[in-house]
Amino acid sequence: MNRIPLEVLLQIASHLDTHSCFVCRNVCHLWAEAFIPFCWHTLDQLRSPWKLVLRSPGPSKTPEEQEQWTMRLRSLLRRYGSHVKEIIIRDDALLDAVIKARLSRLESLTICGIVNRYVCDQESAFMAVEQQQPVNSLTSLTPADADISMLESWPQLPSRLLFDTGIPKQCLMSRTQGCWQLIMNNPGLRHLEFKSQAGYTLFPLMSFPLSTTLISAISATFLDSVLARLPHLTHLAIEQPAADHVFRNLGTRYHNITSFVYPNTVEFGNGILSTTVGSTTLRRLKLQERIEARNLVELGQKFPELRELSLSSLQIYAYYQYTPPPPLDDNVNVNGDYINRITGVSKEAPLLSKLEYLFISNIFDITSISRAGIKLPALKRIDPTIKFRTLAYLWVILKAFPTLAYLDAMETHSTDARYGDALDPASVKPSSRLHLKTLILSHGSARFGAGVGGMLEVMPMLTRLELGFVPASALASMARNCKHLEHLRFNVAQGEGHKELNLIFEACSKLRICRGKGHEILAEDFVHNHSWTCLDLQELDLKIVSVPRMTLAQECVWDAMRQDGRSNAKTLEEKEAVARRELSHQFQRSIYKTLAKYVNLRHFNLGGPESIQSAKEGVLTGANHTTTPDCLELTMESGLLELARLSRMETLGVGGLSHRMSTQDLMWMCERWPLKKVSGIEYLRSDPSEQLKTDKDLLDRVKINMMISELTVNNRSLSPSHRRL
Amino acid sequence: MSAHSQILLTSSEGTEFLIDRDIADKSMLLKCMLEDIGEIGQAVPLPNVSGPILTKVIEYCTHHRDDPNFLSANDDVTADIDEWDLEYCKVDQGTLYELILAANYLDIKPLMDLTCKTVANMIKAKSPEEIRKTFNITNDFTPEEEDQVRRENGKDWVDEH
Repeated sequence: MNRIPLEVLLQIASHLDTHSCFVCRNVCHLWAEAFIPFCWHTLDQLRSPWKLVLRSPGPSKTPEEQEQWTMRLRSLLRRYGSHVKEIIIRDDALLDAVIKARLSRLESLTICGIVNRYVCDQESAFMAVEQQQPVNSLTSLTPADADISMLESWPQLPSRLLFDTGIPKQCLMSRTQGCWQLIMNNPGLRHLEFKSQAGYTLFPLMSFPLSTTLISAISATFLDSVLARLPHLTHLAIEQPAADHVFRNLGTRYHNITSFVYPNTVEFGNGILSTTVGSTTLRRLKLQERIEARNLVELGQKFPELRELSLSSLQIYAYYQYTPPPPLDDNVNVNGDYINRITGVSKEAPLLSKLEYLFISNIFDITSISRAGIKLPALKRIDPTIKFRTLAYLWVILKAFPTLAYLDAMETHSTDARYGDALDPASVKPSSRLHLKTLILSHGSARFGAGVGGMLEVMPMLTRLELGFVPASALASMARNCKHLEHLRFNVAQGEGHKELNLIFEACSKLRICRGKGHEILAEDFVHNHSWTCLDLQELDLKIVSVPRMTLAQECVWDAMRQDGRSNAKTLEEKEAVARRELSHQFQRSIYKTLAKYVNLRHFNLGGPESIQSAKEGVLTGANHTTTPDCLELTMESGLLELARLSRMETLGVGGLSHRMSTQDLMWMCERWPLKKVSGIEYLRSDPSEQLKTDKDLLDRVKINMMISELTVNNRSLSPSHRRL
Repeated sequence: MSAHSQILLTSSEGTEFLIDRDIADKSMLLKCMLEDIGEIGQAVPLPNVSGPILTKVIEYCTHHRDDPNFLSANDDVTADIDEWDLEYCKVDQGTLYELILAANYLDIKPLMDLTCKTVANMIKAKSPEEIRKTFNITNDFTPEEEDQVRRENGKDWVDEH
């Protein structure tokens, strides 16, 4: 790829994260140049590289520290400012520096509401902006004149009169003015956001003259003139009272804005919606306060193309009932005509007929929507933060919104043993099949009854399913009904569901991830009845049990023989032990051979987390484990070499107490596989840490691997050259 | 323009490919050309694209022929690659590279995005040396220059990782 054209390289770079772009700069001359813009693309003090190069002084910074910081920032902006496309401003100092740097290629600007409204102390005010004509003295003009002259004299600064009147005389520009100048100097802006924080007065529109709650004509004209300069703007979040003005005019002036955040909806009660012109281009709308059901209906009528709607909460009174307009015939119907005129929607379109994603923080509001007769016929996904505690509501939701594809609506930490009981009465289940693709009902601890199996009968499209503890019958139901599963997580009681689990692996050919506690399979089934279809398995928690192994007594005999350096058995006991060992190894080898088919495995937990748990709680360690072992040995002698092809294995769990894996076996794995994490080695029969202490090299290597696991979790990426030390 | 009309393409080695018009239209280059000059009934020569690569490109366009959003720019660059596309990109590096060049030349944005994303995934989590090895790039830095780049990168950041 030495001859890779620059334009192609730039395309590739646009898909990389910032850290990778920095690494790429070290590849060759061409790349060192090509990747610079992508390295400095996003200016945010909280994110690298800016975070590190700026090394923000803490809150108790001294003036000297602040000065140094500002100098550093200014020199960086001089050097890399032209590459900056996105800025998130979190304090005054950064805003001042950005304004002075006169950046002009921004695509995204976010100003968090911690910026001071007035510039009161002379030092941080803009005494005179470099290469900037002094501001016209417009103070003598009437507001209307000032406005017009401001619009015509751009790129000069907006008049002081338009903004704060409280700034000291010697300052030529307030931060507010500077901020607007920054916005207007960046006609490529696509994304503009003023993020307020509770209790803070947000600039700059609050400092519009005349009134802080109602937008004045001048302010409105000014705002229109600013937004007219931003033809690419698609996303806008702005404070009151400007938000009112923009919201009202989304359907007239602001067709380009497809995504809008409305900061508070107190105004909704005052009838702002009735004076709002509907828009057919708005796709996303976010409201930050509670609204009423009738507002939702109005929104649906005004913005028929909404795809995403985010509501903080919804007030639906018990008596409220939405009645859709009666179907119209071609004869002019006075009512229908009225609706068509104000919405511009075709008369057949039901309310919010294109809404796919609805965010409401409380799931109960969603049931209220359906109770109130609002249908949402295209709804695909809801993501509430306050979720159900009982599954009875699952059917309420799914019956009301049968188009849902994604549902994560359940309280995930419920430990109530009856959590899943509500699923049992088959009568409440929808009779038709659902479109659901992702269903998350628990992240582990919840317990489900047999009803969960019946539930799956109407969910044939599921690709991702996460449940808590389920009975074995549910596994059989998964295998029978959900053949498209790719991502599966559930727990079963230890020792249950061996056959049923096997059925899942046979039926679900697309299965890539199968995780959870208590997943066990019988060695006999695994080897002799192996017909799994899921060849792309990548993550697997599976303990293979009932592997024929030596008894503990036989293991002692064998260990003693080996210590004596003998391989030929003398006594009957020894003969039995050797024979058993051979049988066991033969069997295990065939297990490894079968496992080796799943070449894409990158996570494999053979131990099961609960065995680690029991080892931690009890006094058991590998050495004084007493029951006859029945899991894989995970030793080279038992045929581990067969697994050399698993070249993607990154995390391995060996939490079981009865593996015989030793340090040498572990080192073999570290060499063959790109292991980043091995869990449970401290519970192995032969404690590697003891052996490792005697061998410094090995100790270092294991340590390196363990360190890598931590590093990778934190940093996402790491040079693999370290990995192969 | 009839939906059933067909277009003849000629690859660099002269192999001819007969494809449906709607598939040709996935390529902005061909689409614009056909709109400008009309269907002249002659083969369109594509001297920059070899037969095997053209086959592969046609496979992609055929699979996605009914995608409604094919031409609307996909802004969400972080979106995961779908299964079929993932499988499609499991080719050797030479082929992948040729595919990128072909997608670039024929101006097929979704294919360009897909192949670039695939390459980007190959770059992630690699060291500079490994990237050079993977893509067969010569290290043309002198040690001093290499040091210089490292310093520019904000030594603390990159080295700490």
